[in-house]
Amino acid sequence: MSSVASKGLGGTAAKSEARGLSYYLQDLKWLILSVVGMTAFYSFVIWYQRSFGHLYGMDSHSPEFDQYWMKWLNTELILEPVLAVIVWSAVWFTRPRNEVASAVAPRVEIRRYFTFVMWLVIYTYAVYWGASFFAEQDGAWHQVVTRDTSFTPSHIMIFYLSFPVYVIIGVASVIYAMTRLPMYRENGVSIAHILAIVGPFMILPNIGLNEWGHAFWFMEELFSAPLHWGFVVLGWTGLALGGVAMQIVQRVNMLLPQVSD
Amino acid sequence: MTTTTTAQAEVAAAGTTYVPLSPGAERIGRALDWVIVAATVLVLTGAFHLHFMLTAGDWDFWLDWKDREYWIVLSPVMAITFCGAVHYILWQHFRLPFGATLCVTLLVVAEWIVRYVGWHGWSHYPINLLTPAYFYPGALALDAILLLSGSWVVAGILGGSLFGFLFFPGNWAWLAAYHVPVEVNGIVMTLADYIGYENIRTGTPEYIRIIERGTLRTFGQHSAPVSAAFAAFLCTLVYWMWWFIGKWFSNVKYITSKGL
Amino acid sequence: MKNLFNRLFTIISASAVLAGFAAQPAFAHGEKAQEPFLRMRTVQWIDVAVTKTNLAVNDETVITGKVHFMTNEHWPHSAAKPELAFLNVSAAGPVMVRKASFVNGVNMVNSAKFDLGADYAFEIRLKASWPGKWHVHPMINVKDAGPLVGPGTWVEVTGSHADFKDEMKTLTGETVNLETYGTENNVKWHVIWGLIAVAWLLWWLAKPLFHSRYAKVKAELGDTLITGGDRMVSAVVLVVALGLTYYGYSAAEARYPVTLPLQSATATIPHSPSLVEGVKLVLDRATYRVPGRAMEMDVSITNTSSKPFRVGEFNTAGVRFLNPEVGVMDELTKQYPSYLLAEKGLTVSDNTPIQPGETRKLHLVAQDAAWEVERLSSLIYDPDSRFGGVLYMYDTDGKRLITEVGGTLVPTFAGT
Repeated sequence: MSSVASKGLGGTAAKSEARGLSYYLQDLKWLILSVVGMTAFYSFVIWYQRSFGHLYGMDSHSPEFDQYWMKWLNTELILEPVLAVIVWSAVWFTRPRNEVASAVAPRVEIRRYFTFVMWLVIYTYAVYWGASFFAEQDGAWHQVVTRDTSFTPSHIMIFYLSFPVYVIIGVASVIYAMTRLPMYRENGVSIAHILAIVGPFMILPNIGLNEWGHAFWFMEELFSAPLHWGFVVLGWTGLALGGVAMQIVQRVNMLLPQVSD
Repeated sequence: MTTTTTAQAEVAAAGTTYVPLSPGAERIGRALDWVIVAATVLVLTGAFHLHFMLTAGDWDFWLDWKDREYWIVLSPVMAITFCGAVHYILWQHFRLPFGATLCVTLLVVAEWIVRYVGWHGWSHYPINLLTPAYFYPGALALDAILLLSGSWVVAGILGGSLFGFLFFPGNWAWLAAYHVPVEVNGIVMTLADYIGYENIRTGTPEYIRIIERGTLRTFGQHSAPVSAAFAAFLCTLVYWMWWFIGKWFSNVKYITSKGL
Repeated sequence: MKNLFNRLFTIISASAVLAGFAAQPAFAHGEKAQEPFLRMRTVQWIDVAVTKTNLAVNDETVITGKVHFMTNEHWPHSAAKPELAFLNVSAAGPVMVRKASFVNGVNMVNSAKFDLGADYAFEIRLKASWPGKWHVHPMINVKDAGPLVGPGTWVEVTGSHADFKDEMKTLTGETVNLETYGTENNVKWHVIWGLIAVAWLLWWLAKPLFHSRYAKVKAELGDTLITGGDRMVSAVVLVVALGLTYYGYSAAEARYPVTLPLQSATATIPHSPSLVEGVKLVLDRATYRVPGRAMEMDVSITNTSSKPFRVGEFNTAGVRFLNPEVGVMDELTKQYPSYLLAEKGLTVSDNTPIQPGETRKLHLVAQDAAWEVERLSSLIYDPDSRFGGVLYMYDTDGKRLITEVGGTLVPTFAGT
């Protein structure tokens, strides 16, 4: 069985195992790299906000605002679709071809579940930044300004950066699952997985409700105001990863008795 | 290398019997455990924190919102939601009873990070104005009762009640200090009121505080316990409701691509 | 793509160069983005002054002034009336803490009802907390209408925040530093409970979690997963949760036997003498000339006072258009934020004094770049193209009389 698995995985697996890293943890280095990279990137973002938020970000009509904030916004609005295409294409075009789902070796499949969950780890890490850190930090910003524009130094980072980033990764995880995992290839689309990706994705267009509400309805920053509840309900869909976890556990439990290491 | 036959594996997966795994397979399962734990921790932190900040966050952000009427009721009721859902998933499928404590710990850690880095570090608000409330006493009790009773109904009645009821006395340990009275130019305030007044918030004028504006006389001196009792009642109901929300969200159903 | 790289380069290089300037000034707080009708037709800020603009940490400064609430005739239909409003400050957060604030002598720790057409004198005492150069505005938050921001003044604070002391004596006789009061105790309780929670979580995380447990539950062996040790630990956790809660609550009650609920009264403010007197004004027509950045008003002014007066100033949304012929450059005006002061901004067709009882038609032109800079000219794009403001008259004794002016505004574009 292991020889089949090794063939299926190619030479990289043998090298990794030679270094003492089990075959199923081969992609751990990518996960660590992604987490470290994302941490470094968002640390830079926080530093940028600290450096230029109060300095040039208070008056959306100033030329400095345009220079330091609108250019950033425009840049990310250009880069994000490009990044999405690159990431999704990479996952799509590296899919195994001409593979019969039922013939995938258990070790290969197990490794893919590890990789899939690692996709979910980096996805949820991106969700953490958007839904937890930058979301609450938005409140800290609103307490020191008069609501000025939809594109504040806080919104530019939360709505138009951290949200698209997790959407890109979340969709990539769907492509990965649909192209690599026999469970999803054979059974169809996992309701839980789609919920866990589409729900948080819908938080992005839900910004429309938020901005509409603040433009016509509510000038103060009351976090618990009903115009924010769209975010709440869509955030619940994160719980659907529990369903994904259940699917993984069920499938891996079928595979584990077939392998010894 | 296969230690059991495919047939045995199918029997195991069908759940009709339990077949122990080989040590090697156990190691794989354990390794996968940890990766799943990482994703679980992160998604709960993000989703639960978002839910809580946008439903009860204002009371949690500010010292001068922690009142006897709304804060005591809203906070535990909004917090027990995810606890119930995660309880379902972890207990029903794995007999793991730590869901509530896990949720509230992640919530408070996430809150401390952003309170310190964002609210204090970026916007200069003092930490005492921003200290989050914690739900540890109720969550620990809820977890323990679920395990000891083995019943979501009992956990809802006893554990849910304790989750709501212990919230106020649990936090009073640190909050009481801010309810000492001071005189400010002829007006009596609590230190909490005055710290909130001192620290300028452009987005939170005084009138926007949703706090107790007076009680009916009968319960004038016992408002906090009355609110805690109401919170206990609501927590039981919300716990049960979210138990089923957890059940629904953790479904393992599929849909064909044509159905999308 | 080259453009993209240029943008990226600009951002990154600008970041690097300016990294050391993090504590530099803010320019504004977003007030210019508010719809002009909201700024022109709600409140008018009068005689706003700041006692001290260069402070060390712990120094205090006082903002004083008057605020005139426009009458119902001018108050925007779409903005809620000031049934509940709060005297606030627009600043970059608590860089200066608010020690006290008053309206007509009433302590304004609470919100209050304000009356349309009434005038109020306010005072805000601030104490410098964080070093930097800060733009500080008086502000009134009106429930459901939002913040109404007054003219801003630069205040420069030197020193270190570490030296900031904000002491206060409680009614129980204890002196506390409000900036740090209780923080250590808060953290202590969070850590104690947090450690217990982590210990509980570790008890479970140390066990195999998902796969083998799932298999056993599925095989209806779930009960065997709960060990005697688990039950013992759970019982202990339950007892600790209850016991520690009881202890924490009791200890707090013993330490602070006198506590009050949060205080939430609304204030009642007595009226002060009206600033609006001695003048009757009828607006015949008002236009805004877009290319010239000038608002022109045809008005009929009747002097109902006992002394002759002349038109000296048009004031709206904090921008002051002065009539240089009348000479109103007093001390307060000299200190007024220059970006809001149009020293020669008002031209009046006839500057001879209007006699008591006389009605005179006048053509007024308020012209300055401030219309654009302060984004008031976007008024012509509002769904309700009406303006508002106040005119200042000065009588022969130098006494100031104030009247409201406002109405529909017709734009004139280039070539029309």
